[in-house]
Parts: sequence; structure tokens; C-alpha cells
Amino acid sequence: MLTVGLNLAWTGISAAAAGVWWVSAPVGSPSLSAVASDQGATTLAISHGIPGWYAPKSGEFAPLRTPAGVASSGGSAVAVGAEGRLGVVAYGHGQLAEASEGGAVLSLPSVPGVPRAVAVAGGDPELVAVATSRGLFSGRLGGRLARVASGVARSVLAPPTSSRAWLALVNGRLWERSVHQGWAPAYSSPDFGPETTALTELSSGVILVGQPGGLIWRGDRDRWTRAFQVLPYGGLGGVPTVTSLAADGATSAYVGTDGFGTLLTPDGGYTWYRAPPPVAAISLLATVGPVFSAKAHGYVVAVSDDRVFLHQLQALPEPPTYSPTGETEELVGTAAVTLASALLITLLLWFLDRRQRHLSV
Amino acid sequence: MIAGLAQRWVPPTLPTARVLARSWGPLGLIVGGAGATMLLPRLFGDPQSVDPDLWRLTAYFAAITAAALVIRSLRSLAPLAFSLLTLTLPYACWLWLLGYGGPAPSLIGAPYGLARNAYAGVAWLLVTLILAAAFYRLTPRPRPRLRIWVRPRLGAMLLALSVSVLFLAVAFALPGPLIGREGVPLLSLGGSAAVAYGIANATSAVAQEIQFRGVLLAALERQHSPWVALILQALIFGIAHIATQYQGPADSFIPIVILLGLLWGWMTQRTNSILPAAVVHVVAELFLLATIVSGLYGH
Repeated sequence: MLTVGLNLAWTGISAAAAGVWWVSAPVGSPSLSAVASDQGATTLAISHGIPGWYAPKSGEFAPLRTPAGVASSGGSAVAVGAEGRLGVVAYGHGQLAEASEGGAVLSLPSVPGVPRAVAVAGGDPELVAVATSRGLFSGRLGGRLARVASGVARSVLAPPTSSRAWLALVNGRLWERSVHQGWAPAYSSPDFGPETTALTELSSGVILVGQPGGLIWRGDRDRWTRAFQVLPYGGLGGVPTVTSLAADGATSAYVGTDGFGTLLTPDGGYTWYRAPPPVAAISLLATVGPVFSAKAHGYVVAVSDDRVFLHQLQALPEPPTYSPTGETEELVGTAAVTLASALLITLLLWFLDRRQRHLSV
Repeated sequence: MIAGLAQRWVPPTLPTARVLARSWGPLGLIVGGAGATMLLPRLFGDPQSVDPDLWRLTAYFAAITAAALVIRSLRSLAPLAFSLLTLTLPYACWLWLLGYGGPAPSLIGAPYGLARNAYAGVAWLLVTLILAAAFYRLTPRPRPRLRIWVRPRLGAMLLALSVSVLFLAVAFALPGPLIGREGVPLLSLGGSAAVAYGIANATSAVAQEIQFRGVLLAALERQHSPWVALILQALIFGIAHIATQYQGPADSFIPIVILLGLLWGWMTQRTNSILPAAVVHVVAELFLLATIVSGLYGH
């Protein structure tokens, strides 16, 4: 009855069930190194250093035309952001480009350092933020971006809903930009370490940060707690690295690891389930399409070294209404079986005893 | 009253009774009847309803115990039947206190809550201790070797610690997927959940040692050789994990449980105390809770 621990979290999702959620991307889908999507149909990705519009369901990838300034420097795309039918691409030398789905690609003022992440948000004005090796840069789309934080910035997120804050990881600490204020360090943020890149925000406002060493933090503006620790793979295998985080709702999020595939929390980081596609190393997770709407029907994209897997989010059906019937009969039947078993076994024991007594005599 | 019951429990001196008790038939019949009691209602029961299977088994073993007490020629089987009742009744109480299978008392926190887990674990241990004491008092001389109150020697405790360390070392050295380990909300258990789950698992581990390596092993040793008793209790330990609310990959887990039952039973017999095995079991329970449970069970 080692089951004592098991009963505490009984209504889990089995790994087998989770496994069938994932389907391989269509044959011919590109190998991806970055994916960004808005809450609509706009999805920008990078494949082998080339940015392009990406359709997860069909696997189609339409490369962008490289702006003249970027083409002359020969840089490869390293990060993308998408919002409202436009995308922003960051190249390795700090150049930025704006791409619209119509096909136009405009060169934007560059930023210092090597870009790590790009985020863009719609509205008036459209805002963009870029995390680079020289700091965090933010400003209006099309204008020169201002450095809002110095140091090594590794991640930046546009808010999942308009009421939420922008988030970034700079020198291992969380920075945020609320609706009415500029960028500032989150006063309650722990030091996540300078190598931490995995960051996501649920639409409920809960923030998850995954350190490379496997520790997942859960927090909000006021309080942070250690939510989850990915354990060592075993022996000398070390701890699988947390590679990415992707929120896909108000309380659910995926964690990508390079040893245990993907893990899923359905309740904002309190409980975690194993929900891996059939590969152990996931280098990138992203959500595509409307994942934060009431009737989510977007995708979670999981990328390994050479394959892409999709999990289509869907609204769960209404649970069936259940009216118990025949409870009394069931109870009587159960009691009768118990009594009959006991009586039968007693009779058999008595018969066995008689028989053995007879044999011993 | 206890003395009166003990008088009824005293096995007749008829050699036939001993023959019956020592044969394999009674144990097979009793366990087979338990299987029928467990499984037959599932043929007509509503799959959506809560199946009170542990209470059913408890009622069955109680009925067998009562029959063995009433029928003079079967009295030598009463300790065995009571030892099986000792396996199911505390566990059924634990489930009831947790809130499974019926209205639970409201005195110990919200159903399925953290506090309730801790209280239910302690209750499991207390009920087990009461039943073990009753088993000891009611079984005629020579008294059963419960090995609960025996203080182990230093060597025995060193053995327990060594086995615990070896257990953890092997478990951590094995590749994670082999034992289903992929992660753990270990650090989130740093607050009240850690205390509640820790108490629940530790007390249940000690209770199980009293149930299986204390009462059951003692009952079986009265009727079989130590080796046979050791193997039988380990098999029943494994079966018990199927018979409860187990829903995981039985093919990989149950053999492990049986091997652990053999190891802990052997330690109990060698050290003449359940304490070393209880130490290792507590370590194993906490390790399971903290590391591999979710993976092993497909979560």
C-alpha cells in the first residue's frame, strides 16, 4: 500500500494519454529554432537562420525577403515576435526588420548586442522590446529603441492580455513594464541566474520561470515560490535542462526539457504531469494561435532537433450528466456477494477440515 | 471480555486442527474468497459509483474470523483470518477518513485536504496498533512473534541505514525513464503540504510494516516455515497493492513491491524487529512521494 502518496493526486493525466495529444508536423515541415505567434493566425518562425511565415498545421514555411542592410551583413535571424499580422525579426548582428503578411519587409533601427528574444504588442502605438546581450531595449515599432535595462537580457514577453505587464529577464532578474509605467525591476523577483531564459505568463497573471538547472519558479508581483524541480536523469546523466516554457491558458503551461520531453501543469504550477511527445529532448516550445481565448483552438508547438510536434488545444466537452440508478440493488448485491463468499469459504474450510480429519484417522 | 474471547480463540488440541492450519488449502481458499468478494460485484456494480471494495474485503475477513471463532474445528484459522482483517480494516478507515467512499467525519479538515491526509495517516497507524495488540492478546500461547516492541540491536539499525542508502543510491543511479522519474513538486512541498504528506506517508509505512511484517508474518509463521511465511507475506503484500486503488502499470510495479516485501520481511526475521524494515520503508515512501511516483504512475 505504497499507494498512499498516489491517492493524493489521483485524477491525473496519464503519460500515455498525453502522448497521443501530440502529432508530428506534416512531412516537409522545417526544422525550427524560434517561433512567435499572436493570438490570431500570424505565425513567424526561423528555420536554419532564415525567418519566414509558418503554418503549423500544413507545415508550410514561406521565407521572408531579407532587407538590404541585413543582407549585406550576412546575419542570420535569431529571434522573432509577432502581433496583428506583422512580425519583427532580429538578426544576429542586432539588425531588426519588420515584416508584414503582405510581403513587405522593412529594415528597422538596430540594437546593440546579440538579440536573444523579441516581443511585439499591438495597439496604438505598437510597441516592441528586444532582449540582447547588451541589455533590454524597448520603444515604438519603427522608431529607435531605448535601452531600458543594462546587462544581459535573455527573454522578453509581450503581455498575453492587454491588462497584463510586459516581462523580461535581465541579469537573471525579472523586469516588468505595466500598462501605465515604464520598465522597472520586479521588486519581489528572486535571482534566477544569468543563464535563465524560460519565461512565460499565464493569462491569470501567474508567471513561471524555469532555471536551466530544472527549478521552476511560480510567482506574481508580490510573491515567488519554488514550484517544481525536474529531477536528475539518473547516475551521471545530470539534470535535464529546462529549455522553454509556454503558457496555453489561464492556468496551464508546458515546460520543455532536454531529457524528459514536456511536462504540463494544468493549475498554474501546483501540480505537474508528464505530457511528452515521443522525443525526450525538446529545444523549443511555443503557442500558436488563440490559446488564451475562452474556446482555445490554437496549437502548442514542441520542437526537437529534427522534428516538430503539434498539440491542438480544444475546448473540453461538457461532462455528461450522471444520475445514479439502482444504488440499493447494488448495495444489496455487494453485501450478498460478500456474505455468500464468506459462507462458501467457511463451508469449504469446514469440508476440508472434515476430509483431513478423516484422512488423519 | 478479551479473556473470554481468548478462551474461544484457543485452538483445540486436536491434531487435525493443526493439520488444517498447516496445509495450503485454507490460505488458498480464504484468499480466493477474498478475490471473489473483490471482483464479483464489479460485474454488476455501477462503474461510475464509488466501489467500497476495502469495506467489502474487511467485512469478508471479519465474517471468516467470526466463523473460525464459532466453528470449533476451524478455530486454528482464526489468527490467520484476523491477520488478514488487520490488513484491510485500517486501510478502509484511512480511505474513509480521507473522504473516499462515503461521508467522512468533518472534524479533521476538508475532504481530501492536507490536514486530513496527516490525520488519516495517523489514524491508520493507531487502528493498526490496536488490531495488532488485539491479535497478540487473543492468539493463544505461544504468543505470536509480532516483533513490534523488540528493540533492535545497533547492527540491525546499521543494516537499515545501509539498505536505505543503497536503495536511494540505486534509485537515483538508474536512468530516470526506467523507473518513471521525470520530476517532482519537491520544492513546492516545502510548506504544510510537505508536513502533511510526509506524516501521511511515514505513518502509513510504519503501519504497513506492523500489518505485513508484524501481524501477517507472525500469523503465517505459526502455520508455515519461516521461509514459506516470508514468501507468502511478500506475495500478499504485492497482491494488496493490486487490490487497492492501484491504477498504474502493474507489470512493472507489483514485482518491485513483492521484492521489497521479501527484503523487508527478511530484515524483520533477521533482526527480530520490524523497526529496521520500517526505517527503510519510511525512506522508500518519502522517496516515492518526492521523486518517482508521478512518473511511475504515468502522471
